[in-house]
Amino acid sequence: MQQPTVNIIGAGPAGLNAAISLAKLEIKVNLFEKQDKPGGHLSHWHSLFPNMYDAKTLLKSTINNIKHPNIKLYTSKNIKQIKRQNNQWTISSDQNQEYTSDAVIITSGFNLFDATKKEEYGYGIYPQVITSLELEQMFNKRSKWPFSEEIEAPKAGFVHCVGSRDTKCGNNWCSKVCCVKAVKQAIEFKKLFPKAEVNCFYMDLRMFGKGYEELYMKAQVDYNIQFVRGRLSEASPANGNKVNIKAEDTLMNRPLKQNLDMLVLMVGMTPAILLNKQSEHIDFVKPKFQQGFITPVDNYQSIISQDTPGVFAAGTCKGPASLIDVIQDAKATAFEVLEYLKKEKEKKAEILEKFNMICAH
Amino acid sequence: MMHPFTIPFVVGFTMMFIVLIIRYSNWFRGFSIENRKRIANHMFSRKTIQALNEIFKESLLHLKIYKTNPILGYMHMSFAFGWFLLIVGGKLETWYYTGNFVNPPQYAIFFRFFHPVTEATTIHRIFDFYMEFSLLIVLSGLAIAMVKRIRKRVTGIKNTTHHTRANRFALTVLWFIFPLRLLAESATTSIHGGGSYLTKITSTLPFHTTVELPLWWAYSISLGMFFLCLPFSRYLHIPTEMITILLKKWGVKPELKLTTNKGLQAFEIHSCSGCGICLDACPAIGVGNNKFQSVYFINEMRNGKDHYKTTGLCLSCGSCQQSCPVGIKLEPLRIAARENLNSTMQFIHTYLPSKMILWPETTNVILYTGCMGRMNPRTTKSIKKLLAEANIEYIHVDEDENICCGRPMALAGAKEQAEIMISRNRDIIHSYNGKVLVTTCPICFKQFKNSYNLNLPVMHHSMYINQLMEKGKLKRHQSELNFSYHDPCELGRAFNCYDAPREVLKHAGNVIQLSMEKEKSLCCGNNMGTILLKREDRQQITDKTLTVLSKNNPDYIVTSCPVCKNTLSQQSSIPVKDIAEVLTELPGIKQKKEPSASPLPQGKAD
Repeated sequence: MQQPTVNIIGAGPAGLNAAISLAKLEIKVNLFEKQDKPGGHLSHWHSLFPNMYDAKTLLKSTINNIKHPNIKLYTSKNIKQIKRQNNQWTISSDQNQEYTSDAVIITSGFNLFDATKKEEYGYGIYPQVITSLELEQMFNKRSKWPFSEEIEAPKAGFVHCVGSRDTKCGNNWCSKVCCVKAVKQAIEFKKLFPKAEVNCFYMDLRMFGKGYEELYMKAQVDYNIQFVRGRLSEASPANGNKVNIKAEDTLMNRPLKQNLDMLVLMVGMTPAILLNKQSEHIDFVKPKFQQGFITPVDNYQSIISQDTPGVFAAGTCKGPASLIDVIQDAKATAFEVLEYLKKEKEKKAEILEKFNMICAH
Repeated sequence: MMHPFTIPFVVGFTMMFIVLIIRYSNWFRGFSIENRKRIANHMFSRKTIQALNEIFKESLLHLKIYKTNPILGYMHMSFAFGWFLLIVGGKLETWYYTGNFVNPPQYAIFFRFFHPVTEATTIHRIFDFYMEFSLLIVLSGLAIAMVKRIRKRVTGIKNTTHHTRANRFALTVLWFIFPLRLLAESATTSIHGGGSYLTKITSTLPFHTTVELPLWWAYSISLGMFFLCLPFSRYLHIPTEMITILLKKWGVKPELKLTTNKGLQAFEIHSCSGCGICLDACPAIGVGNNKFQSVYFINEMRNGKDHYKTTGLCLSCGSCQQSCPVGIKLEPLRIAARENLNSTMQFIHTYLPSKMILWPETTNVILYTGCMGRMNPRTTKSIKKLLAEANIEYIHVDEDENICCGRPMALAGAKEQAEIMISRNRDIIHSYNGKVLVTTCPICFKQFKNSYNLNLPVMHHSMYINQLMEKGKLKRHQSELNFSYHDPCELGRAFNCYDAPREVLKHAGNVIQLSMEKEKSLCCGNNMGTILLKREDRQQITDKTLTVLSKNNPDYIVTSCPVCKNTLSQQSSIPVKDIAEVLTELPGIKQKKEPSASPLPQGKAD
């Protein structure tokens, strides 16, 4: 019997973990990545909440694991379409290369919210305003701080929910991870600049995961990070390479103005692709306003639709999730795929048996 | 001359007159002293002749409707003008026949019954021909009206008004009048002879002598019923529109407080024919489950129904007012209705900054970017860059803090609250010695222009930039870029400012022609005008607008309103820019500095 093959689209944490799980189950995996290196967003992070685990260590060990005889990695492959042919799925890249498999897992992940859409926060206009991703790059020493090295006690602000829970920009969902990530980043920043003054502007703090609440407490007690309930109304330029922010402290019921050396926008998760389902093929297109995240048949399965047996989705392409949830989801999806492949194999065997019986008569 | 069958008509007609006189005199009583003086001063002037001219053009010929939709225009014209021809013809006919100018109206209307066969002179033949021709015109209009009710798209419209029961009844009665007249006259011709080409044909139908009188009865009853309904249905617009045209020409102004049965507003509200042309013009039509378009709003006011929703949902884009064939000032009416509903709104304004200036600074331009400027720092940065580039001295009056121009408050109907903001802002603006006030926000621009009484001219930044370019103070290199320009409601329809921004863009690239632009431009969906419309509904409007703007794949969607820009950019896959940003941010359009530093040509009025 031929070894079944699974095509996985996207080599981020979800794709990598699903590939490893399947490979260990003696299934051949073709792993496709748009970028020239696997890792997805994980390769940009410095450390991971809630335990400050080093992101590079995790990434390295994961990538080591995919060096498995059953896994074939294709980088710089942008997948545009998947087609159904004789109970198999053929995926095609924008260079018109085709790869056929018995099942497909979409692990295309998410895009970060384009912070220029919230023009009032001044991203792209004032150099002091950066995104949470750019801050990680600074932690990784890949880019410079937006303030002068001579400043010993920089004033920093974190704005939560930028592009999340915002009906105005069509992102009605909570991006889940930004709350605790802001806490993590604020602590990390404080470790680098112990004299810094850090304020986090939030509307709700959702510390749902294991160890999150504890981290949040630590930030307040051990690191003296201030949490202000109220959203920013605007950022404007101020004297001395600073940015002036206006907000409201809704617990104290008073308006607030501050001059900051750095303003970090906690950008949320937005859909990376939109699946345009046709009768026999699925096109990958650019998501439109309020569209994108893949909705599986129900919350307890990863199969994307009853009409497309063998196509699964895992990770953040289904909606915002933390890294921990993504890894678990990828592993669970691998088992769902295995189950599917087994059933298909049995079906084939049954047909073969019937065929043999007819021939015997 | 009198016959029992004419009684229904006479009763209906008389009742209509009595009711009309009572209603109109009530409305007249609501006029302020100033308005009464205006009427007295202008009644015997050229204004009256001008008004009569307009009445002829609009109330009878319906030229405005004809221009927007020829089929609808013809339909309205055939009813009004055809009926008018019948009335005039009837008058002349009876005058000629009896030798008396004054005859009872029923004599003219049922003339054929009383005189089936007139002497066969040429003049009588002409009269007969003329009367039947006029009837044919009305009947052709009726045919279109029937088709319109069944298949509206044939007449080039997408939406028709859903009428109230009273209006539907009146409409049915109206539809019966003229076919019944034709039948009655045909029966008479068939039995007694006479008639002209139309009844010659129809009289060949097998009319029995016993049906003649019942048909005349039916005609008379339908007429009487219609006149009886008229003062209580939308057909009240027929006489009212004419009076409204007169009143407006005489310079009558709306009363300060809106009352639906007093003053000019009462005449305006009852001038609405309910034609529903405003429906197709409304950018919010078909969005959500709301029926708040002007025709419904006016209908609710007219019938004394609760109009909180129809008043508050509207985005105040001004599209309906632009398209209204009767010329009803719908936006002021809605704001006045909001004033009635929201008069209890109270806010505390103690936090507003005030300005004490001892020596006013002198400058060329006072720049005001408004609240929405704070949401669009990129635009603010760009306009400042442009002013600096053109060597224009300016003061950014609301750089650190700003007071709202007051327009959102005014639009919500909180007039007094808006007044507080207006006076504070006016003080601040007047505390500088500026030559011109330039604002980047069309909403502020409209408020400054209409409600501020400032001591200096006001310009929107697109106008000012255009002026700078015309004078050669700003130069740009025309690129290959294609722009779709979105007309903001408060700049376009409100001030007919369509050319200045387009001229500016033409300096930088090509401006794509759109299917809906200028007067017909759609609303961005997030105008300050609405206080009730749900976000999802607004986003649907934005989506519709973006479909128009994105056609032909422009490189950029450009607008000159911070609200439009902010709203469109949230949903657009094509980048959205303010007109000032186009000139400062886009690569390839910046004019390369000429090697010789020649002094810039100086304009006269800067």
